[in-house]
Amino acid sequence: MAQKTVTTKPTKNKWIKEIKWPVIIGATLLGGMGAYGAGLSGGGQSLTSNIKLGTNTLLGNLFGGGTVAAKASMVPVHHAGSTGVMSTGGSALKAASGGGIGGFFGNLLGGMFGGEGGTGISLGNIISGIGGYFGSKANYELSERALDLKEQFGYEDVRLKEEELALQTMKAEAAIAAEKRQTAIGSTFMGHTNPIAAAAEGLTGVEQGLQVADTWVTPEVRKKAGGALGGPQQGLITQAKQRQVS
Amino acid sequence: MKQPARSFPIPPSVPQEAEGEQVVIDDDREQSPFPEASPEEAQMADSITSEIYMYIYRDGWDEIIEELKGSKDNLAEAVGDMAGNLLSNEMLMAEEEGAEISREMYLDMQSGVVHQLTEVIAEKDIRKFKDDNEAQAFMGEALTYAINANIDSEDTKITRDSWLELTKEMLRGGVDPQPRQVAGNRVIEEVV
Repeated sequence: MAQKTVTTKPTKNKWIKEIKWPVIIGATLLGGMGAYGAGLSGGGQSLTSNIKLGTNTLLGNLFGGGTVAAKASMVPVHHAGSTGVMSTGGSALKAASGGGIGGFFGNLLGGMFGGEGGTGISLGNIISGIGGYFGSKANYELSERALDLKEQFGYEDVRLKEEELALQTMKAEAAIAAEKRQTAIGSTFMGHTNPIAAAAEGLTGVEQGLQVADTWVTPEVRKKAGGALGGPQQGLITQAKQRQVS
Repeated sequence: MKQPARSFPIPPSVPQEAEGEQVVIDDDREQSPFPEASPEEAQMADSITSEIYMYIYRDGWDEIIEELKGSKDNLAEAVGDMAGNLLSNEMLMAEEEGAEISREMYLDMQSGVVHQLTEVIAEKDIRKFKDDNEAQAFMGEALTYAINANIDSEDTKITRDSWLELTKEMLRGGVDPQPRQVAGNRVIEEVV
């Protein structure tokens, strides 16, 4: 249902200017969020609660699992007739959202969500504003991630493809790891895993190989002790000495 | 004064108007980011909204004023519900009479009706707006309620699903509220 408009329509009224396009787009998106929230469990109570539910569900799913870093910056918010800077915490947002739908538009036009107010607002500003105002976290960087929302609206095919891709990636990684292990097992050094292969990524539980001393350590001898044959030579030849001799 | 031998190259993005044609640019009115309607669609939309405006300013005037005066606490919601119901009914009535109403013009029509009712409340001092931003915020809220009223109405062409589709389309970047380059009349530089 692509929307069209008549731009040549003259302004007929002297009292109030016609509705600006960012406002129309904002209302359209809020209507969508409300429609989405109304169909969820717990929805259908009021339009505002539906919008909050829809927005939170969408953004909660979108940013869940820590896979996407949500920018948690400070957001200037109009509240109780003043402009302050609020943190991104949930409680602060509750206060910021106290103005309802009208408050959202007031902030949007006041440039609170970016842009320059009525004329410089982008689609990203509007979406980000909805997320910040009605969502549980403020000021998501949605402008660049707006397309990701399509999954939440039922783009199951995209989601399934992504899952399949992730599965294929996992399989490929597992195959590579198995090959590395096989290489590591087949290449041993004096009964231990080859130290070079042991450093291969994905190989766990590797035992330490034979360590050869880099420097010669003078062996301790038992002074004043008689030699093995009772002669004047000092004590026993150490194992290291034996190895050197051999 | 003489004309330059060769005019400067004009970037392709700058529309060139026919010589002598004057284009009035209204700084307050941004160009629509939505696709332009065809003349038939525009005429159809005007025929629907003009009926509603006629009702607002004639037959329904007293009732509307009374209703709005009694809804001062939730005026935006009252305006939105009223605007949504008026448009929904009008479209359905027109279709019962055999007209074909494109819902692609819905937002244009709905914002017009909300605007008219907002004019009424301002004119009758039911609500005073200190500036345009406040009026815009009010109309935005009212429009949201109007859309919601239409989604919940008997109109089978504007449903929850269809609205979600529209929302998806917008989220995919189908509509960019950044104002486009304004068409103007290019002035040929003169060399004195």
